[in-house]
Amino acid sequence: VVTQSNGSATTPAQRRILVVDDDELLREVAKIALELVGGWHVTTAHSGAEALNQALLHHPDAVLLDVMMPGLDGPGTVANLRDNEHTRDIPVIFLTAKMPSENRVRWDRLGLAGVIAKPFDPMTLAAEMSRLLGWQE
Amino acid sequence: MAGMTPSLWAGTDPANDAPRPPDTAVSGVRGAVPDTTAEVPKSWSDLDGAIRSIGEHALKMNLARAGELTEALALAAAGQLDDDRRMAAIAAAHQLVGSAGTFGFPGASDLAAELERFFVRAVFEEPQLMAATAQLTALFADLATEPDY
Repeated sequence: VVTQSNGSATTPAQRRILVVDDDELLREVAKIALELVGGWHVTTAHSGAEALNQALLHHPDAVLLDVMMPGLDGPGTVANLRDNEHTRDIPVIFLTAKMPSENRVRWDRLGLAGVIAKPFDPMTLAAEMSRLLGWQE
Repeated sequence: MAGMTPSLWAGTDPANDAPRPPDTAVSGVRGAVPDTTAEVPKSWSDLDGAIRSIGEHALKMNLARAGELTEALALAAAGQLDDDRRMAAIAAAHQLVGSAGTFGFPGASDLAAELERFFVRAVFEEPQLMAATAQLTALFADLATEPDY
């Protein structure tokens, strides 16, 4: 068991990841990739609102969050997570096809653990997340 | 809150490429060197199969999204594209960027990104419309090829 910088003390096999994306098939392939390659336990949400409920319910070790979603988008979801004492410390990684440089400045204020660009490579998704989160699997 | 450094932006900086699987990774996977199946980790071969299976469904969905773009482009050319349809086209193009690229169509993904910018800018003059038409034609052609995993 290793205590991580975010305070979680889980082994790789126990790690719980919340994947949030409004595209069902991308959600599914990310879930399968993180389970098969990372060996993590993955739950999913199709919207920002559902993600907030899942985060409160399961308190995941990290959230992989799509940015552009109908309703509550990625930045709005992070803001809500940060406003709740039970979820404010959960590391969040954005998964996004939108990478204009101005977003980097705006997203800096959200305290993200990192950003992964879409399209993503399912084979390396777990490795990229581990690197951004400082996890040594 | 500490500011993000460039190292936090995976896949967005050529000098900061994320770690790749070893060269003995799954045959046919993007960026991997083909090797004997005996050396392929089971989880990766399972994942490769899952990606291909889900990819078949994704292709149908992405063709439908490209169809939406076709309709939106026709409306734009006729000067009849309202803001709701334009926003729907932006969303469809945006989803195409992520989905087509992840499921083996990087060319279609790049073209969808161009089309997303086209609908965001909303400059529907003849040169822009012609360029977008060519991009959409190329996008359909790319989706008709074999996926490049």
